[in-house]
Amino acid sequence: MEEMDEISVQKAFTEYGNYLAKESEIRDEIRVTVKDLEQAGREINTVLQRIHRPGGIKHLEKIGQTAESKFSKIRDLYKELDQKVPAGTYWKYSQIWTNSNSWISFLASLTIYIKSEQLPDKDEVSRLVGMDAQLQSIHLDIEEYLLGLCHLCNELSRVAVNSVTSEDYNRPVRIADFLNSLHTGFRFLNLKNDNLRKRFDSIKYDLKKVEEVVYDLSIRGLNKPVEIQEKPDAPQDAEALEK
Amino acid sequence: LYSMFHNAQQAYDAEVDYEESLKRHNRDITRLSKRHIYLLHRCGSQIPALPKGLLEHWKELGSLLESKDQTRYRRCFTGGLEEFLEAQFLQYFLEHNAILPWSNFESIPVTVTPYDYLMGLADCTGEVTKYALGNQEKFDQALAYLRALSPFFASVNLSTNKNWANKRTTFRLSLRKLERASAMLEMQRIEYPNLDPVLDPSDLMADPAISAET
Repeated sequence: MEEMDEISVQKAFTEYGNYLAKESEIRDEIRVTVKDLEQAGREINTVLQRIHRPGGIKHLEKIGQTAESKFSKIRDLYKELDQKVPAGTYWKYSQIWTNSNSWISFLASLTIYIKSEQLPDKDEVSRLVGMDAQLQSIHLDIEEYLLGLCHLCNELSRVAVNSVTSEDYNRPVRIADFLNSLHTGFRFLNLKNDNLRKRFDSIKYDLKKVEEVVYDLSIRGLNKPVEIQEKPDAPQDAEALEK
Repeated sequence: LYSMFHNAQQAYDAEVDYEESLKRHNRDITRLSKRHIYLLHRCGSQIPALPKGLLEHWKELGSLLESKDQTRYRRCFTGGLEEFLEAQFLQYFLEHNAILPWSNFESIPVTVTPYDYLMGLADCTGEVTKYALGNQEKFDQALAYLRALSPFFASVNLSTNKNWANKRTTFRLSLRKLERASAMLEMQRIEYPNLDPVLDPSDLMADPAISAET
């Protein structure tokens, strides 16, 4: 066996060993920031969970504002994360933060929904969490955003139930409407059999739960016949897209 | 709201289609590499070159990956890459009786990392063992090949990788198989000093260490 070959194999082994050592240093650094992000997320979640408490639904605006202010910490942390990722290596390390991204996207979507009761736009969410164009590598993946919306549906079905407890009898109908549009929107996607697909299936159950709440309210006559604003764009859009 | 989902659908579908086109090439590369390895086992002294079709698939894969981030799509072609390297290692061993050097493999448009190199090398030791147990002329060289690699397998620390543990176990089994066969040959030399030792397939299969499935 020629010595030259052994040397080249050894070179490959040692090269790879060094490469791994460097990489695992970077990974550890990234994990530290991701842990901080999750901690900050938990603080925001604690604030947002107050909407489920009896009577909490009446203080929505205040809760939303408090939650929104806490996002500044998230923005700083994403800046920190961005600096730790060497340029052009986003996809190498993306698995480490992708779940946190989905969850934080959900928290942001919920905060925005509380304020506006409209679908939080991906750009809006990106801005709130600080993953905007200023960062060199970190951005909000469309999949992460969509997963966040699935979590949002889940949360809103709880809100529907708890808003009845808080004597807000009109909210469940609005939530049902919202979930319906989201469900229709999601149906446009040709999903593979992955995580997103499973979460999408759970939207159906959330929608069903909310519809049951609305039913319970209407047979008891608690659903005051408030004019529900028809979204004039929705049917036409669906038709145009069907073509 | 719907236009957002519509755009998302288009982007998502495009991604899925693109990854599928990469994976199609990956499957072909795996298939053709495996076929070449079987051919190498059969070929005897006339060692064939790598089939052109194989290299063409690499070319097309390369043009698909142009201007894209290879790291992102690595998992779409890494299987075929390993098989391809395995075929090259085996070929180089049969042609030159040596370990394919790091810089010597057929140039392909994707970046070959030391990881791929080592995985291909590990897999190739299995093929070398198989070859040697069937073609006795190469037996001594095959044993030397595995022995030369043994210190590296023992020393390198890729504990972060689950695959590596399996490859290392397989390597040890392969080395053991060759050493058992070597012992059988030595026994024959001692018992029948006038005859050339021969590896009888039925003797080999009767030995539990050699016939063990890896």
